[in-house]
This record gives sequence, structure tokens and C-alpha cells, in this order.
Amino acid sequence: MSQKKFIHTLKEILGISPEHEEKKQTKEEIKILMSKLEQQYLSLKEKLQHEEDATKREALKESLSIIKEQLKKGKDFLHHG
Amino acid sequence: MKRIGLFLVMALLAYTFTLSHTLLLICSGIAIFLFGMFCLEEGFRSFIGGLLERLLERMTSTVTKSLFFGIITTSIMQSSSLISILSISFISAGLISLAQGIGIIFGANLGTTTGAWLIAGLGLKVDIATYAMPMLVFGTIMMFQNEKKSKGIGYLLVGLGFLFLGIAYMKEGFETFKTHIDITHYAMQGLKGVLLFTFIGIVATVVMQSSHATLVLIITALASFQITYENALALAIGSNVGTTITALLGSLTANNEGKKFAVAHLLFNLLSALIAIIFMQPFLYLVDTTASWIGIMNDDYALKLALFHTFFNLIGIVLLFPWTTQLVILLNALFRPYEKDLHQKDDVLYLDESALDFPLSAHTVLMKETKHLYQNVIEIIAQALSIHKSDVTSGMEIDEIVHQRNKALFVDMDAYYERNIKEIYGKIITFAISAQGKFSQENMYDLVAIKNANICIVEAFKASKHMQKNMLKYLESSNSDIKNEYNHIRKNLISHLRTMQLIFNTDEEDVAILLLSKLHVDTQKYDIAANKSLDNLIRTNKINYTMATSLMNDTTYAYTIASELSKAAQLLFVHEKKELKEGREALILTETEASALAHETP
Repeated sequence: MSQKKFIHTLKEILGISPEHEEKKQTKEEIKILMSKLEQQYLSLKEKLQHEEDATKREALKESLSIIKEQLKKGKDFLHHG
Repeated sequence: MKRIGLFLVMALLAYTFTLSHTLLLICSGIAIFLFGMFCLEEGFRSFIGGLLERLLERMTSTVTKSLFFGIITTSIMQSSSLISILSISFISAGLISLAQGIGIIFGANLGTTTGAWLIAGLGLKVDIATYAMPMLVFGTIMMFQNEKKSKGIGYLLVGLGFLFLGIAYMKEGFETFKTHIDITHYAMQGLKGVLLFTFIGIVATVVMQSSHATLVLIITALASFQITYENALALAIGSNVGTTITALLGSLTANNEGKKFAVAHLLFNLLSALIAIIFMQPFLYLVDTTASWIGIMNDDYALKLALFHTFFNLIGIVLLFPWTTQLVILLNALFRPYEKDLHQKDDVLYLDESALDFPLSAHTVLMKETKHLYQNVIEIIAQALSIHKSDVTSGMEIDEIVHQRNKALFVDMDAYYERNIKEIYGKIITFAISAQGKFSQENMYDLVAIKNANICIVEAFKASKHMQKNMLKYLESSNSDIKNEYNHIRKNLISHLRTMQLIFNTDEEDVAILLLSKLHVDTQKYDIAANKSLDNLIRTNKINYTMATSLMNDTTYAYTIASELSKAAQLLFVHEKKELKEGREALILTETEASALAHETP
């Protein structure tokens, strides 16, 4: 365990992370989630290209627009939150 | 009966106090000491309660780590009771395993022996009453502060102050006592003496519910030569057995796992005591040899008692710790889970009072019980749609499910509510309200959210109950248009339930976040699609006005089911883990955003 990680873990256990550090951590988590959602977006887009069933295509399109909206929300949070 | 007993004990004590001032001094010392222990525990709960929970959650991943956790925390806090209550609470909530809990309590047994060292080494040799007074003054000032941490420190200081004062009183009491009476005349030698004094030690600890208090009493009496060294050792063995009463009492309100833990604690301490009694002579030899080796005077019996106390707990651990797995197997065989009859009333599976001791355990059991209630409600909602719960989780296409389950399936929803929902729901709400009153604002926020999720789940059930009547009627209707409309409602709700089950079962956070947003968008689409279809059917006279009214009402009920369940799923998902709450909340679409998206997409 690196020194930085050790201090971070210790602070977490002791519950003494300052507010700005907690916010930083939340932003970090959101970034991770957003990158996962981006991957999800790409894989759904690829699925859409090969999907022929009309209903399933609609469902995929809907999921893509939801992810798009979520990514937009995430970006807003990272910039202004 | 209990009150009469209490009154008689008090009357007897009052009478003896009038006869002996010394006895009053000793008893008040015990009372002050016990009050000190209480304050100390309160202080630790509020001052480092959160820290203790975080440590327990992270540092007990293996049984060996749990053992060290028990040793260290009990040495610091000087209260094996607090550690055993915490362990019961966490075991009951499923946050740690029974084996980990056993590791902790084995360690706590050793950790608690540091108390005897402190009392024998410091308590008797220094005038600790001098230190008690300033601690009480500063502690009381801190206790009156509004901030929780200051209050906690206040309790700790007052607790320590009272402990010191209690010891000083007991010491003084025994000093005065020896000038009047010499109770060493009542000393008993041999095995008979060991057994009798072990029994007295057990009774004293059960009455005082603190092995520390018994040990202080033993050490102060021993230092004043009021009891013999051999009898003091037997009393210490007894106190070790008697201390298991805390875990046993705590487990009365715990589930099976908590009870197993308390029995494990009792078994360990009983076996350690047996070993100590059987091998008393070798133990005495070991203590004498070690004492002279580490520089303890030959006649310093108080310190030798502390050494003995440490040795017999240590040897107990050495001998019994390798058998932890076997002990767990034995306890699992002894406490088999209760098998429920199908027609029997369903009851809570996880809630018990022991979980109310700490915020994390309360939160965990509340979450688990809510998911239990949710599964019961999903079962009945599925039946209200004339399908089975297994259809929802099956991989079958939704159209195929609706096609196969084309007959109305009658189920008595009121009877189901009485049997599988009411009791659990009531207990969850009561538990959540009790927990809300106990913990900090931050924890309360999560508890309120889980409570609201339960309210949403039951609201969804109520809506499904209202919807069922027409569902049964129109599923078998000769009018294919109205039948199609009800089948459409069924399809939407099956899809909704399926997505909900996926959210509860997935470990991938991004998938859950996407599905939750999808649930909200789908819910918003209900009205749009239903209104279009209804207008068309009325305009073309395909359904009569009674059918139209029913359809309008049931569409609203379907919307209520979908939206209440979505709200519940979101609340449970967001408030599942404190540290992920904000991140999760930030990415899930709100009702307004979902509504805007629903109107955009075709």
C-alpha cells in the first residue's frame, strides 16, 4: 500500500476526510460511472447496428438517449456541482 | 414479582448499611464504578461509535484479524461488553460471520485482562481519587456541550473519573474492613474452595454484569488481605464465566446467529475456566516463574492475579482458537433455521432489537427486510396481473407470457396482505422510527429514505389490489379491444417488474443506474400511450362508457404501481451505500428529465 493510499484509508476509517476531499471523491466516482456508461453507450450503439427487430431497435434507441442524458447530467455535475 | 424482589434487595441493603458504614463504602464504590463503566461505554458509543463500526467492517476479514481486533479494541476501551454487543449486532445483521464474531470475542477475553493489570499496577499503587476529581469536573463541562464529539469526550472523562473514584472507595472500604473483621477466616482450601469461590465469582459478575467490577473488588480485597490468593484466583475464573451473561442477555433479542455467538462465548469461557481449574497447580507454577522473571515481587498478589488472569485466557485461546470452524459447525447444527409452513403468516427475517444498537447494523437489516417485503409484494402484484412471479424472472418473451397466461387468476389479495405484508410492513416502520430516534441526523436521512421506500412498495400493492377486480373481469371478456388494452397494461407492468428485478440482482452500478432511469422514462410513457389509445377506442365506439371508466382508472392504478415501485427502487439503490449515494443520485434521471425524454421518444 502506498503512503498516499494508506493515509487516505486511515482518514476514511477515522471519518476525518474534509468536505472538499469528500466532494473530490464523489466526482471521482461519477467519472468512473460515466466512463462505464460511455462504454455501455458504445456497445448498445453497435448492437443497434446489427439489430433488425423494430421493437428491439426502439428499445435500444431509448436506452441510448437515456445514457446521453445521463452523461450530460454527469458533465454538468462535474463542472458545476 | 421482579419489583418485589428488587424492593427486598434494596431493603436488605439499606438495613446492612445502617449496621456497617464500611459495607456502605464498598457498595458505593461498586455502584460508582459500575456507573463509570456505563458512562465510558456511552462515551465510546458517541465519540468513536462510527470509527468502531468502520474498523469492525474493514479489519475483521479473517478470523485471525478478528482475534486481534478483539484484543486491541477491548484493551483500549476496557469493555468486553461493548465489543460483544457490537459483535452480536453485526452478526445479526449479517455484516460479519459467526466465525469472525467468535474470533472477536476470543480476542476480547484476552483484551479485558489488561483491566486487571491497570487496576493492580496503577489503581492500587497510586492515589487515583486525586485524578478522578479533575476528570469529573472537566468531563461534566464537556458533557453539557452541544457538539456530539465533545459530549462523547465528556462521557469518557466522567466515566474514567467515576471508575477511579469507585476503585478508591472500594480500596478505602476494604482497608477499614480489615481493622474490624478478618474474613480470611472464611477462606477455603482445595478443590472445594476453588469451586465455591468460582461460583461466587460467577454470581457476583452476573449480578453486576461487569467482570471489571468483580475484578476490582477481588483485587482490592486481595490487596487488603481480605481474601486468600487461591480464593482470589477462583473468583477471577468465576468472573470470566459470569461475564458471558452480557452476550447471553444481548442475544435474547437477536436472531439465531446472535444466539450462536452468545453460546460460543459461554462455551469458550466455560472451557477456559475448566482448564484453569483442572490445571490450577501448573498454572500457579507458571505464574510464579513468570512473575519472578519479569520482576513482580513474590508477595505482590494483585499483580500475580493479573498475570494468572492473562495466562488462563491466553491458554484458552491457544487451545480453542484452532477449533473455531468446528465450533461454528456445532453451533449451526444446534441452532437450525426455523422452517416456515407455506400457509403460515410470514414474519420479519432480519429485524431484531440487537441491530438497533449501531447505525450500520440497523441500516443493513432494514435494507434486507425491505427487500424481503418487496419480494412478497412483487409476488402478489404478479398474481394480480394473472401471472406468476417466476414468469417475471423467466427468460420468456413478454408477449409469450401474456399469451400463455390468458386466463384470469383469482387470488385473495386481502388475505395475502394479512399473511405476507401487514406484519412485516408494520415491524419495518416501527423499527425505522425507533432507529430514527436513536442515531445522528446523517444516519436518520438514510433511514427515512428506506422507510419511504417501504411506503412506496405498499402503495404499489394497494394500487394493484384496486386494479385486480377489473383485470379479472376483462381478461375473460368477449370484447377483444378491452381485453387487448388490459393485456397492454399487463405487458407494461411485467416489463417494469422485470427491470426492477434486474436492478436488484445486478452488481454493475452503471447498469443499475441506466435501468433506473429507464424505469422513470417508461413510467412517464404510461399516460401518453394510454390516453391516445383510450381516445381512439371511445371515438370508434369499440368500448362502452363503463369499460372506458374502468380502463381510465386502471391505467392510473398501473401508473401508480410503476411509479411507486420505481421510487422505491431508486430510494433503495441510492441509499444502499452511504459513500456511493451522491454519485448514484447525480446520474439517475429525475421525474422531469424522464418526462421530457418520454415525450421526445416515439
